[in-house]
Amino acid sequence: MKMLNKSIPTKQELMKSDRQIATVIDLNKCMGCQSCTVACKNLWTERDDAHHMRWMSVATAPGALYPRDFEKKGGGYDKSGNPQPGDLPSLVDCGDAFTFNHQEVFNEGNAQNRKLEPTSALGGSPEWGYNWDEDQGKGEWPNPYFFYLPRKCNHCSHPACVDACSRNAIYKREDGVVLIDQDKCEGHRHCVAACPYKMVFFNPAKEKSEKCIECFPRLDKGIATACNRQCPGRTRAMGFLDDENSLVHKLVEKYKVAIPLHPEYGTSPNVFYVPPMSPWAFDSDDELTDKMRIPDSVLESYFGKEVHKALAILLAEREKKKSGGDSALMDLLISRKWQDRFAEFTNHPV
Amino acid sequence: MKVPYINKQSDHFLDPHNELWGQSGAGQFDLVPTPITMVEHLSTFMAMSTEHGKVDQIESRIAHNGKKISVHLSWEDKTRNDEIRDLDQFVDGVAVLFPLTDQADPMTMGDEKNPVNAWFWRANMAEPFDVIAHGFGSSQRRSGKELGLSVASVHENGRWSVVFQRALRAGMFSDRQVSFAPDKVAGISFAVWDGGNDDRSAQKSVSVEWEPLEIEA
Repeated sequence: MKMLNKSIPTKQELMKSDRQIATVIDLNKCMGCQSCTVACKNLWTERDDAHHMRWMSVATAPGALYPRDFEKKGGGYDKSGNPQPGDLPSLVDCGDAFTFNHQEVFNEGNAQNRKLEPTSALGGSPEWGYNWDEDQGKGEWPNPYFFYLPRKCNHCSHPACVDACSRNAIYKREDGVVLIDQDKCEGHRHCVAACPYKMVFFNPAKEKSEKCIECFPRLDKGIATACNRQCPGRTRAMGFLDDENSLVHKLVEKYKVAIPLHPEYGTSPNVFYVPPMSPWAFDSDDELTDKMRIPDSVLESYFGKEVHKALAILLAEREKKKSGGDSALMDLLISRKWQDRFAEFTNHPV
Repeated sequence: MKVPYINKQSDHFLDPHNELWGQSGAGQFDLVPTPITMVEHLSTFMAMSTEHGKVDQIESRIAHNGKKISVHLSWEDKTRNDEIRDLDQFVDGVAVLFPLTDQADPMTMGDEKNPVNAWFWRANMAEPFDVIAHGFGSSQRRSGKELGLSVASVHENGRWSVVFQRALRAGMFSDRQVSFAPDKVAGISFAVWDGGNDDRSAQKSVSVEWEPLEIEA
């Protein structure tokens, strides 16, 4: 553990890490099953004071995403590196924490005349909730489109949360994991406002902020994070970015097909996405075109201009495989053995 | 300001409306928003604030009964913010700051060699904090109850009234808690947080100088 006993460490010291752990998520394979979300929730936020938190989430893009409209809530840095003001998401923005009238419907003989209904944690009927706009997406028939966007803390190389904390309670471990020291946090929420991804969550009962801890007790035992390990769709890779044998290194650095979400936020995030290759769009005569259904401009709005290069590589490699040739990249993405995806983090959790 | 001796039982002082507070002269102190660039090194994001610290005046009365000193504070705050129901809500609060050395600067919350001691109340908490600080960002909250600090509060007619009370002489940590004695000069400064204005951390209203206290025998 990094020693933080000095009275005022510099932000540079707090942000320094020897290596950087990273996750790659292949959006072509994510089916929105929420296994990652549930794995995380069961492990870390299945608590009375944390029901509104999803450190791991999957939302439908384009859409409000999660927390609701986080892309409109500011934070991060501008092109010159200047901090940008940010807003705090409300409990409803964070997906609320519904309770249901299970007792009334199932145990009091009302099953025929009472509906199962959610109640907001703030009381009354819900205004919005987690996955409220699931599968809505965008686009007009015959070219509707959407993709699933799983999100967790990016454990950024230049974390705005570390910069923002007036208590110096947030720091990077040697392996690049960003943690909030719960003993030092006083719940001022400068980190919540500063994180452009809104992946820091306030715990109003404890008056402290919490976030994804990258399952560090598992990492320390060579076990992959719960969200990565529980993904049934083989979408996930994790490992150190500088480990040339790791799948994350190959996809991010070697083949350059995994790219960060909103790189323009200026925090150097370390969750990378293989962008979605959507089905070919139909033209006005209902004929297939050679354009993908998800418009280039939409993908660019999430992943920046790099998305075009990444998609060009993916399409070319897929074409090789389709025509009977070999593609080392496609084989990597197919990922037949789960052990190949998680570098040294292949121990079992029990 | 003068800190008169008033011969009443300690619990009378803890009632913000007790008539004894009429016997103690009131001081009016101007407050300013924390000059936030002073804390830019702690948080460039916090230092962008332009809206904090809108409470611009605090009224204070201080008295003692030979055993305990009581600090009565009152300020205008039309909205009572005493709970955090939603994730974007903040609570009202007030603190009084005391120097532990002659050189301690109230604006920086002291420094490494010149600590300051604060009594800190937040509207959503029944018990106050006793705070020690060695400069910005170094404050440590300690349980006020364990250190003999009591507090009472009331919000009426758009004003908070809060009374802090503690033994004149520090008990447990005499080197890290302020002590008062008759005829000994002491100093005090003030800070107010308006939860309705999202005030928190250094985003607050402060008085910029030590107000000398003359503790009467």
